[in-house]
Amino acid sequence: VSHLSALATNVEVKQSLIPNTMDHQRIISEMHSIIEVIEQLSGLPSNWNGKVILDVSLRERGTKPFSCEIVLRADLVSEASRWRTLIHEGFHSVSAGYLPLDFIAHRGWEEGLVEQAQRIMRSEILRKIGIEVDPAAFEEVERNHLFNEYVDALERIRNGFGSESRDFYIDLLKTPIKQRYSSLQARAMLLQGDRRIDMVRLLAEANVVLTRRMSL
Amino acid sequence: MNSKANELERRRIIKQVLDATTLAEIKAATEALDEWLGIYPDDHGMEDGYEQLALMRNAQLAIASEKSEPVAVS
Repeated sequence: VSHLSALATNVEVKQSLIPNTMDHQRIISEMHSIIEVIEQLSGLPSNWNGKVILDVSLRERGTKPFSCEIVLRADLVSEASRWRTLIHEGFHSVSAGYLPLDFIAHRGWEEGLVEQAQRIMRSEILRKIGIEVDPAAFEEVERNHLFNEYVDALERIRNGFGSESRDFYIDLLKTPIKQRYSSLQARAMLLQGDRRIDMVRLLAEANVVLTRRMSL
Repeated sequence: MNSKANELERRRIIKQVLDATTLAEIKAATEALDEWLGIYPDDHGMEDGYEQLALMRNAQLAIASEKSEPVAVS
């Protein structure tokens, strides 16, 4: 009996997490607004097909599979923190060369880039679509986020080049995933003397973090 | 979650998640993340690890499918 009771409770909990049609339509509408602004800011077309799947059993908060839909964990539909997830997935949808083999080989060049683009442009995106969210809703998650290793590696590269934040990340979004490292190497080769040597070394060290190759 | 030992364990799991490449490594990293978040459900900074693991798994399955290779999926 206790087993059945526990099962019934679980079913009840799962049922309560199932979003209604209005939630689903609202999330699709929010995603359309976000994508429109991301396309404006980046100058890149999104490959999102207009579908959002709300999944009650998802472990991840959200994902943008290599197909064209966006998936969001259903219990987040009314959480303020969903905005960072929707924007992160929106940036995946405009990212050049988002393909399975290239993602495996260069995962940090995609996840770190998309995460940092989200952090840098989130307040502007939300302002443009008329949404006000207390930044505290995102701060703690981002302070202790497991992609910070990737973000820190990308920031070291950006600081090394002395690039402006938004331009650097948008340029990388426009560059296919598998060419991001080589395109920055080519840029480093245009530098003079010690600066060139320092940047090539810095890039190589960051690439170990971003590709997980030779990770110790 | 503030003790030194827990912080080291958290770092170990982050490395396992970010490094996971084969389907077996992805499964083991997912289980490690499940266990961590089972103990620390409010550690939301770790949740996005599932996204990379899901994408890595989908990517491996897509590549295997293109090659028509049988894969062990559990």
